[in-house]
Amino acid sequence: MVSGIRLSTPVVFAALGETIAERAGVLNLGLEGMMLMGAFGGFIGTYFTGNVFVGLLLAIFGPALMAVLMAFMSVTLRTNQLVAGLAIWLLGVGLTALLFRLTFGVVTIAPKINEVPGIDIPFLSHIPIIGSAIFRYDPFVYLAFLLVPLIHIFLFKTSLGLKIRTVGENPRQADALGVNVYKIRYLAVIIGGVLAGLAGSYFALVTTGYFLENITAGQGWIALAVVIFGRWKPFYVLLGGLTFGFVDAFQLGLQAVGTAVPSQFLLMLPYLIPIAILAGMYKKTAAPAALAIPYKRGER
Amino acid sequence: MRGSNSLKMKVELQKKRLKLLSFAPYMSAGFAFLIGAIILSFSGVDPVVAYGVMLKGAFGSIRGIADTLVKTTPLLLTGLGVALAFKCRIWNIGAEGQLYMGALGAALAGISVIGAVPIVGVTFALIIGFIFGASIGLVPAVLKVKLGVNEIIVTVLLNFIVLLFITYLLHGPIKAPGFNPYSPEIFPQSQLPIILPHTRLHAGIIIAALATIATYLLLSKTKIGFEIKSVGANLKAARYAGMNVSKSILVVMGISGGLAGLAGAVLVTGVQRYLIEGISPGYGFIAVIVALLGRQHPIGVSIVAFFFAALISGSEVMYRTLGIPSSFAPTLQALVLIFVLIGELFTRLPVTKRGGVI
Repeated sequence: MVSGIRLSTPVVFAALGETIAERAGVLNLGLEGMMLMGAFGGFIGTYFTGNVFVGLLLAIFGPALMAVLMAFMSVTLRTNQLVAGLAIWLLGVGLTALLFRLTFGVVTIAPKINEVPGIDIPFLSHIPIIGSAIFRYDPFVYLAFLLVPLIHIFLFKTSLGLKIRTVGENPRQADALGVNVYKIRYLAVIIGGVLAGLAGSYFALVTTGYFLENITAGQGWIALAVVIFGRWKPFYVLLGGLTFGFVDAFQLGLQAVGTAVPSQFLLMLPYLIPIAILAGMYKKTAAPAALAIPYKRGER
Repeated sequence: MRGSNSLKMKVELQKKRLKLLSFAPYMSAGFAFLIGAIILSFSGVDPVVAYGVMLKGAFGSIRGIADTLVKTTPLLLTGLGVALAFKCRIWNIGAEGQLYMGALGAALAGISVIGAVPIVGVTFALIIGFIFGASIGLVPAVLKVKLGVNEIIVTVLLNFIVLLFITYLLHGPIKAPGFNPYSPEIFPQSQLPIILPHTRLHAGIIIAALATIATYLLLSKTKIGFEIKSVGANLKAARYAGMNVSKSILVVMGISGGLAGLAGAVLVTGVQRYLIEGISPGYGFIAVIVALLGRQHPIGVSIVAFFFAALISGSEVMYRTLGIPSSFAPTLQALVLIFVLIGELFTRLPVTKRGGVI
């Protein structure tokens, strides 16, 4: 239960960000690359300054830059969004591996930072049984749970959220109503990038204390599946993220206990479940109507 | 009068565009190399020296050129497969997993009884590699056709699943005696012959060339090729014209996965001679860039595959002599793609309604 929530945290962050971007009509396949950049930024920032906040700042900065690039390609240049996203993904994979090796060289002992500890919420964490289960997480977990209602309110109860949704459903109408489609899409992609960066930094700052090549292990792609599963709604996205986290915790638990099933088959579960879920949804998706379609002013 | 004038202007403009168009990719690549140079100089390496080493490593000797061609082979085969799928607007990002399945198939065939028969052995290994790749490629295709599941996420996640499966096999069922997680070596009769003595250049490059021609003919001369292109260009129109879209998707993913599988089979039968976990340094992922830059055309794909292979073999020499990490090559390749995409702003390619290069 406890580790399930921890394991779902990065996916929830990334999927929430992607929900906003996709609500504005931009499908960001570069999520995995941005998460890697976040992990790398968070790691080196913390490693060289010893300050987690510098790490967080760098974890946000890199992916935000990549998001600007993504928005520039997909919104301004109207490059096919899938192609632009794939390019961003591959850039993230290559660049983080390269920069890490250039910074640290070939090392026998991997450089390490101290993980962010859990915070005890006074009094509440001392409640027997549920106390330590609910009130002793790292700040990221609380932030993730806080973000879910916040993003829900943002998307469905604020005028900016309405603009984002209109841009994703019908950009021409939004434009006619005086909404700057380009600006809204840029904003949504950058928010998505920042959250992807935070998601990635979780691996370096909380889970492991290390940076490794491909440390995110495909969770950016799983987050994309979670967004579809969550039907672009924050609370359902959280549910999807938690499902993934619990499956991951379950298979790790089984590995620790030791079963007859080879560990590799257990490790497959977190990748198999999203496929199974997507297959089970059987065409019942309601993606934003203008998702992945570039918008050009004045074009029919 | 006015009409002919504006037509003239249009032609002029078109000419200008074409001129820019032919020039833009080189400039874009130049920008990518410039960024690479900046990264190099920040890490204390003279970029001129580094690029010199790279160039010399890739083209400077017979062995270098042979090595570049050895690396062209899997990149070209996976690139062709991905390009074929993209042509049909099927986003196959699973070439890496399909390659590994093909490698597994070839390794299993190569240690079987049939693998010991002269000539038959290697053919058998390659065919089984193709079939293994095709069958894993069909998984996302069936899910898409039957259940409408988005193939992008499925193909990506299948890469991880296949790699875990291979790891399992190499640590258990097909592990050769000894410490390392390797499969047993395949029979010599299952190995591709070396075609240039004293180098590593094997017959795989001929297979890749044949596959290029076959893909070209498939796309331009056959009915199914026409259907594939039609489905990719306009799904609704293709459906309206009575084409069997599901069949096109299944055929495309079968061949696409098969070509990636063939790449894996070539790596086993031509280079490694047994199966290991790291048999591909990510050819299946770079294939995505190769297919996009090659504009999904077999000729374009083969040109890009050759230059990207040179980048990889050159960067390996750079690693051995200057200690620059081998991840330099994929970074540069991703940068080239990004700059080419950006470069299209200035050339204003005829933008389709859905936008973009494809």
